[in-house]
Amino acid sequence: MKKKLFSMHVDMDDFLPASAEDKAYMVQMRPSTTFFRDGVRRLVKNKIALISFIVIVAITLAAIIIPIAWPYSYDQMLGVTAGRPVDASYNNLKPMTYGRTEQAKIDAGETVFPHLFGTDQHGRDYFIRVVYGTRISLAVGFFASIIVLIIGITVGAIAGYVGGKVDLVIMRIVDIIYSLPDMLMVILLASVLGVSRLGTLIEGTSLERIGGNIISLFIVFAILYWVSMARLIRGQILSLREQEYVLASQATGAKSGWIIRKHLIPNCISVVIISTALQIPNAIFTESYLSFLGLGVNAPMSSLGSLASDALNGISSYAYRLVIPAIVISLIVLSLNLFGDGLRDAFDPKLNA
Amino acid sequence: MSLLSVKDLHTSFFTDAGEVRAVNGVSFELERGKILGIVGESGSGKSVTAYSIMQILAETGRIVGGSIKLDGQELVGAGEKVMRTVRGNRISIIFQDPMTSLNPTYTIGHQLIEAILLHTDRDKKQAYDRAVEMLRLVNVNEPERRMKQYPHEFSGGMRQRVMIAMALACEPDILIADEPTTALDVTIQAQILELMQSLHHARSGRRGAAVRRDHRDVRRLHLRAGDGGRDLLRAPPRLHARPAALDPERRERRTEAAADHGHADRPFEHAEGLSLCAALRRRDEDLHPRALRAAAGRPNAHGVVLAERARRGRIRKGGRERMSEQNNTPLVDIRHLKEYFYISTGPFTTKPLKAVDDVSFTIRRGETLGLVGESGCGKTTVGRTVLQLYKPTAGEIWYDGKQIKTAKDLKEFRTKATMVFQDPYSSLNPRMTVSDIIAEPLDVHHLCKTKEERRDRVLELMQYVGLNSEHASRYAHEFSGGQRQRIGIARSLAVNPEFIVCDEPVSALDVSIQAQVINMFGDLQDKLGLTYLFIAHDLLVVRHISDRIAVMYLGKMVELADADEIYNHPLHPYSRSLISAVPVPDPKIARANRRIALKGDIPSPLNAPSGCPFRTRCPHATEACAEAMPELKEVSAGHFVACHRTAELSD
Amino acid sequence: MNTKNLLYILKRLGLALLTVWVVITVTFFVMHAVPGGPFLSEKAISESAMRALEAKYGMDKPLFVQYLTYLKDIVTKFDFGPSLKQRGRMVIDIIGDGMRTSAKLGVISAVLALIVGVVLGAVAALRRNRIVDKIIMVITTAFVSMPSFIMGALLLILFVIKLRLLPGNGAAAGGLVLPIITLSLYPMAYITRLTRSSMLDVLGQDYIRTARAKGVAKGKIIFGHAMKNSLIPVITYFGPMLAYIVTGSIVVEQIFAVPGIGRAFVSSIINRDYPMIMGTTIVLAALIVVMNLVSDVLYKVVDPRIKLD
Repeated sequence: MKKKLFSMHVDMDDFLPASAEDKAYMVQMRPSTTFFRDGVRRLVKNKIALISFIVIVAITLAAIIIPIAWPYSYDQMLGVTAGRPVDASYNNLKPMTYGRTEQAKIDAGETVFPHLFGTDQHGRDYFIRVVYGTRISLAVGFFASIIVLIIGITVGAIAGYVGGKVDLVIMRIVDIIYSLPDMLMVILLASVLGVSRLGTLIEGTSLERIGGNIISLFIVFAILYWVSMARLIRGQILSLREQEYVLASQATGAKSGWIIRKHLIPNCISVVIISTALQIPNAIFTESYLSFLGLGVNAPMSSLGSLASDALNGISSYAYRLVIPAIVISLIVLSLNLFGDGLRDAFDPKLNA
Repeated sequence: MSLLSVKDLHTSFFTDAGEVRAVNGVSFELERGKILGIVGESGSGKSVTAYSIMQILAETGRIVGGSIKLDGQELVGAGEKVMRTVRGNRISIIFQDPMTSLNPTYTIGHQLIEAILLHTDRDKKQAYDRAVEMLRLVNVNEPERRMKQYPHEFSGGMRQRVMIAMALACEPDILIADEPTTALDVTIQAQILELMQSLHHARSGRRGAAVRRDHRDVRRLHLRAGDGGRDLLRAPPRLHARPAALDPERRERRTEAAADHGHADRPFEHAEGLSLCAALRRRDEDLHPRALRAAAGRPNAHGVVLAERARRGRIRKGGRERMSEQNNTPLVDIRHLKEYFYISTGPFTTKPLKAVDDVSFTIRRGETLGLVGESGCGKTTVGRTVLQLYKPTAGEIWYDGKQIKTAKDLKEFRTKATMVFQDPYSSLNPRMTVSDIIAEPLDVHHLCKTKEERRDRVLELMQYVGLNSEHASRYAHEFSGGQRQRIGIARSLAVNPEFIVCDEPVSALDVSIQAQVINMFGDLQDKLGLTYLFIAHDLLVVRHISDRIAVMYLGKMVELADADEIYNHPLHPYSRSLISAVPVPDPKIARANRRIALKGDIPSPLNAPSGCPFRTRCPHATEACAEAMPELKEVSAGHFVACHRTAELSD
Repeated sequence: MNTKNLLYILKRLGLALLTVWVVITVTFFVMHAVPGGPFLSEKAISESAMRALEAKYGMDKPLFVQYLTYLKDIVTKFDFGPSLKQRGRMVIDIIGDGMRTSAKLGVISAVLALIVGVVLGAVAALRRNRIVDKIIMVITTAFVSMPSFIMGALLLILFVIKLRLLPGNGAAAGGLVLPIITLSLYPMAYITRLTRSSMLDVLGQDYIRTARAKGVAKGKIIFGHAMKNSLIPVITYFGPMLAYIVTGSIVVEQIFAVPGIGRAFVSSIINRDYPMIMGTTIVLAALIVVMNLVSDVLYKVVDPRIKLD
């Protein structure tokens, strides 16, 4: 029957079925995966992103754990002992060298914990200062991004979902803030907020230690940097609302709450995570820049930027004091950027223009 | 000796995932002055064959074997220098998508002149004159002015004309047309085909290979060229027998497409029959009934279409019976529906875009109303407004004798009327499993008390639409277009609706899969007694399923009649043109039935012409047509037309 | 130039003016939130001298009147008042002096970044996934992850302290070489990446295939058809690049002791010279806003496709 049907028109040989080999070649049966698992699989396959992730985790853990175990603290001037004159031999120690009293102890057969990176001009252990600086930089980057995230999502989601006049007003404000030169505004606000009433407000609280400047940095971030996040979220929501599955949900009679919960949030979330991950290095950049200008953390607290700035004074003799924080900050920013890129590639290929 | 001879051509793409064999041993000969058609579904390697001849493959692609001879000269391995003198000079190509094939930052004139200067000795002035001449040849108005314009100032059809002008500027021996009309609207397709035919006639020295996805167009050209369908059959079937990925990025999708027929586990079922369907198409009416039945049992496009044809009479009749059993009140009654969108044209000014402008119709219980029209005619908006996804600007929507007014009416309405969407990719949430997608309406309306009940209902729905129930926990991206559309249909059936708006449910699918899905709509209607508003831009699609058909143009309904009536006696000039574009299986009829090519482009709905919106393209327009919009009048029982000149034109 | 483009330019101009006004206003009121106001120097001055000073600068008047006066002086006379620390000098003069050096530094850096960036980006795109491309991508990735002050300091250590090749003082002969390199590296790396990705995008477009099918030679395709289209996104980076160079020069001038506006700005921050901080912020902000405006408008002009906005 079949043969007869074919033979009416054409040579049967032309219609040979694909061979088993051809079929095996074509078939790509994939096991059922969730979107998340799929993304993680792609992320793990990306070696650069994976290494970056390991570097970030290692640096973060080090910044958290090392200060607990380290025998020196970031603000302890080793040459200063109550009731005695300052022992200047502790200032500006080269790496792995010791102050006079320490040397005496070593000569006496005792063990003294080494100063891996030496000390600074005030006789403070430089290694622990770098570790603290890293801690501050990471913390600032993280919390600033969280602030940006919360404000950005709230405003962007309202603008995108409510639409109409609300959207119009919000977007005009966003436009203006967006076109403000952010760094100049940051400098301006940081230089003023640092000396303003804020200083007295936080006096006596635990916030005092990191200083009014950093608090003002957070404020600046909260005021200025949310706009790109808000724009992104709004754009996402607007494009998602155009998707036919949202229309389909509306056609079944679903209410706003349902659509937001079931359709908008799950489809926005990866974009949000990715841009937050890319926001962190940005914040670290800004913090170190301000610290370098003297508008960052209050002394004696250190940050990577302030360490670099301090090192500039003795740069001809102690170049390594600049190189060390420079390497750490570049490593952090580089790994975060690469990891963020990896996240984007893995979870949202379409974002990658 | 033939002009172009391709022997055992093999082209592969080398990707990270390994070698993808896109063309596997294709051979054909092309004689001077003849037209060769190459057909196959997406991914079958048509375009790659064309690019291999031109040697303009993507970076990863390479001809790995075989020979391509142009006038006896071997092109495989001839080198860039030789190929540059061949490309655009001896062999030219027109691409599928005219919207992206022209450089957006250069003027049309610049791009035309560039092509001419490359291969001829003309100086700039002569090249300019030649370019103008070419534009005139392809019927571009005011060619001198058009030369200075950029591609974005041209419509899709106009750009394709420019592409043709560019391809012909250096008098090539061979013109390759790579699906030159796929991306265009139906009436514009007719214009372009007409143009290509007349150019072929005018210069009988020209020869071409047309690469088409759609057999219908190919055959039209064949018949006109007096070549019958023979070339079609001569096209190497292996091309179809082993569909491989077109290019690496699309490989995954293509594989899924191959997996489309019925079960994901049996991806090759259809591949064997595909080219058969192309072969059969010509003679299907002559087939023995037994052969018909056999074909109907085969899971391939043609079998399905044939089966559908065999059954069509029955369905139509069945539909009538279904309808007459009910009392005469319509299930859906749309009265003077208007939907305007306000587009801002300046900082303080807005202009209404009249997407739907005073449309009325009724649909009886169990009936299928087909709604057709080209892009921008407002058909999708009608569908969405009927379901109140958009708030109507004016007009009334009555359902089952009650007007939908309050929120409570609407809530109830939502459990009776549902929708199937056009895009199988964007209509399913990529973060939800198939069972969650299908069960969404159940969840929204709290229709299932227990988890078991919900699960059973989902499995039942999946069975209805022919999906494997094992796939319930999968995500939508794991399915092919056709399967995704089935998921969307299952979702629309979840609440046990009476009425479904089908918004171009098959236009994004390959031809063979279209037939399957359309048949499924028919089966479901028989089984569940559904009523459809079936929207499509393609008359062929609605013809198979509709009891009555309405034609829309620029927000207005121009004709409404029984399906057979509108096919056999279309009255409105626009309907006539649309219907003339539908292929007829019998070549004799096809020859007699000339395609009516409309002039000009579809106007923007923002600047709709005064009076009758169609008058700017109407071959019969008079001055009276510019003054008033004609009423939709009943000219014979159940046949409505909105045209001032119905009386003069109807004979 | 049709009305639509004109309308867009007017709209964009309006936004720019609005932004500059917001900057002036924010700057003014933020500065007046400082305890004692911006004119209070830290050195104790006598009560009567203070009064005289206040009267001289109109500080006895209500804050809003002072604001209007400040705004009026800027708009009509380009006057930002006198400097607090450099007695007898007007803020605008100090800015003008610094601007001469800084403008040279900034313009050369921008041009260098643009030329080298575009060339490297094109090379990387054309040699995609080859060794040259990989090297370029690794280096540019490293450069965009390095803050300008780190880059500057490292260059200072290498070329001034270790190799003693170049002067570390920006005022000396050849002193601008290192600051220019420092400032241009980040935008250069950024432009390289931008050009590469947009070039790759353009090379995959259908119209490039059309050009190939016409028989256009490869070099002509790249420089004729691909280059023009792939440089369009680079234009949008002009504004952000200037913003980067302005903020970057603030620290770079500090590191290399360049007598420019950035250095003056930093010392005014350290000395709490408030009128100077205000004036510099406003001038630099206006500069960035104008550059953003120019790059946005240029983008529209170069790309003939009309985008509805």
